Amino acid sequence: MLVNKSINQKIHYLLTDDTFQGWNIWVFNIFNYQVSKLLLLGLIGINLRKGLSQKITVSLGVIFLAYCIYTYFSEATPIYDFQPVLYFFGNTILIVASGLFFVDLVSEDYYININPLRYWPFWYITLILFQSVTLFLADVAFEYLVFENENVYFLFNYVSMILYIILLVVFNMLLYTGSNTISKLAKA
Amino acid sequence: MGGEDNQIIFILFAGAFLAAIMATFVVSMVILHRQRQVQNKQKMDQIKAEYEKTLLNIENEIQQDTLRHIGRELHDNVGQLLSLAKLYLGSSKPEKQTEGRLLINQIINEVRGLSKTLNLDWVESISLEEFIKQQLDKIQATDFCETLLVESNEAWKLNKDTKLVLIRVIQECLNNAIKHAGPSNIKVQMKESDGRYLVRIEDDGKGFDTSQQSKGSGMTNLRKRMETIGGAFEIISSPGNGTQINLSLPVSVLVLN
Repeated sequence: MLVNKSINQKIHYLLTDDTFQGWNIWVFNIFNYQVSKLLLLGLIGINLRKGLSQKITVSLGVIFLAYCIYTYFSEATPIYDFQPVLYFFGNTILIVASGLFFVDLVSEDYYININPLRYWPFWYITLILFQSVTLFLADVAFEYLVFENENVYFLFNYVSMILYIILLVVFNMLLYTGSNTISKLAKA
Repeated sequence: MGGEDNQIIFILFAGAFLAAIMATFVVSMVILHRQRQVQNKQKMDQIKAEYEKTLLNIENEIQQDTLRHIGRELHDNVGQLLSLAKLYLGSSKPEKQTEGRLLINQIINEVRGLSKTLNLDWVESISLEEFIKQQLDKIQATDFCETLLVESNEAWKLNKDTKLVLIRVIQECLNNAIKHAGPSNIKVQMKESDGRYLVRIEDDGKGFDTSQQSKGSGMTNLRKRMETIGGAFEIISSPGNGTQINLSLPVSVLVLN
């Protein structure tokens, strides 16, 4: 993989005066643990029907966003370093929101005539849940795995990549069918 | 090194364990959802059966009423007209024969009118306002009490079944008022409020204690009938203060129906 370390270094020194150690983890922090988690949370949120579930999801999103903003200015948890609390928090909000979706699924009248196995949101929320749960501990132990056991780190990385690929396939299918249900006939 | 290995094994196992728990959770949710669907289907079937039963009962009641009405009409009206026509037509005077022929025409019209009431097609052609007005006019014509109808600003669009149930419930409420309350005034008000259509039937009769269970099942039946069409039945009364009955239907139900 082509890595332009000099650019990474320049950006690193824009963020801090600490010594550049050769990686630009801030990109990973921002896109993999902040933006993606917030977008996935929003995606789950739009599928929630119960008012209380929606409020909980919005509150979680706001608290998470506030924490993300805090990390930009905090010296205790700098953005250019590992942030296990942020990784823990990001996965937790997705697990909670996914749980709320499943509670909605078994309690809301909206879903009564919907077959979940033919419903795209069910599949992508299930995948998000699996992604978050499977990688929960690995994310929290990210720093340890990166430096102490690369094999396990790559194992989790591959698992994550495979789940993301399946998630992308589901999103593409969703766009292709143009409907939340697998078959348009099922929706009708 | 052993400690690190243990930690790795812990992370792997814990990840697998959590994933297994989540898989169980998702599968359980799908099974729960499926069970709920089955229960809902049974409930819907039950409601549908009850709805059809209620409609059938109402149709039967209306037909029995109609037959009683036709019997009375044949005996008191058509029978009398026919006797009179027979007399006139048997007369040698030409003017009496002309009157007899006119009576025959009147009889034909009366019988035609009666035949129309034999099936329930009239329910489709009449509006709820017209029906209530007819009923109140009938009560007023007997000099039993004064009646008043306050119509809604806009015409209600009801399908035949919903209208049939409402007609029967209103008819029953008016009958109850006449039979049991002995009122001087009966007022029926139709209005739209908070997304619901409301029919309010008020009388200034003797009223009754609503907390006491009645011997008959009339009120329960009326409530059930309203619930069958997605509406509500409310009764407010106390001894000496008349009775107010509120029949309400959500507008969305009317649109759906």
